[in-house]
Amino acid sequence: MLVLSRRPGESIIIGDNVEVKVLAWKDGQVSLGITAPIGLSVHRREVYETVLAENLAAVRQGRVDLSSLPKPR
Amino acid sequence: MKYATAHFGEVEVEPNRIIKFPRGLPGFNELKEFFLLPVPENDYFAWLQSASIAEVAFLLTNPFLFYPDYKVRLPLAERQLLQVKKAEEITVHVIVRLPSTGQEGQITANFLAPVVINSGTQRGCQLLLEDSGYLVREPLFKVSAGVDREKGGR
Repeated sequence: MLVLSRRPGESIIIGDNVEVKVLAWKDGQVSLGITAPIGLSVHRREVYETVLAENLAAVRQGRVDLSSLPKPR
Repeated sequence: MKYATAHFGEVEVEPNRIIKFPRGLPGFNELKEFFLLPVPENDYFAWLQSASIAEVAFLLTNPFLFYPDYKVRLPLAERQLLQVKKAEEITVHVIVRLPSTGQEGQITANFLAPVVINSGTQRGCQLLLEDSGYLVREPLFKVSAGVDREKGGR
């Protein structure tokens, strides 16, 4: 892993067009500002992984009997 | 063009029904094209079927039928991604998960990460509503009854 030290206001650039800027550092939390092309999504890792796992599970549910699905009231 | 599907065998789909997902979906980043297939027995639900892998299909429903106060804000990046021009062309869906066959359990849906589609441009994405408090497994019918949900919260 590449390790770089940055101060608030400084940034790093990934490739040609992804910028990660350190905005503030307070109470053990770092605020980051991220500029990326719209084709790239940026998420907190744990949120992304939760959704990824749920998507995999939703696809794996296999054949389902939809005739018994209830309808919204 | 004919496509193999998870639940209906081979189906004919007109090119203008193909929905592009430029980012794919989390876990399926390489799948960029899908189409919607209605569920014959129940028109509140539809399948989001991958155009390239037959086994990949998500069961979708309209979240507002179950939870009218559901709030989805489409950030600027996603408005650009979907090339939004008219708000009324945007449709919001949630991915449904059914309890396994023969097992008791609730039907849940992923309210944390709705599927948003621009029917005008046929472009879609799965939006992650970070900080919303919504869950990946919200009970679909409990939501409808408004149980365990603070008014105005979420």
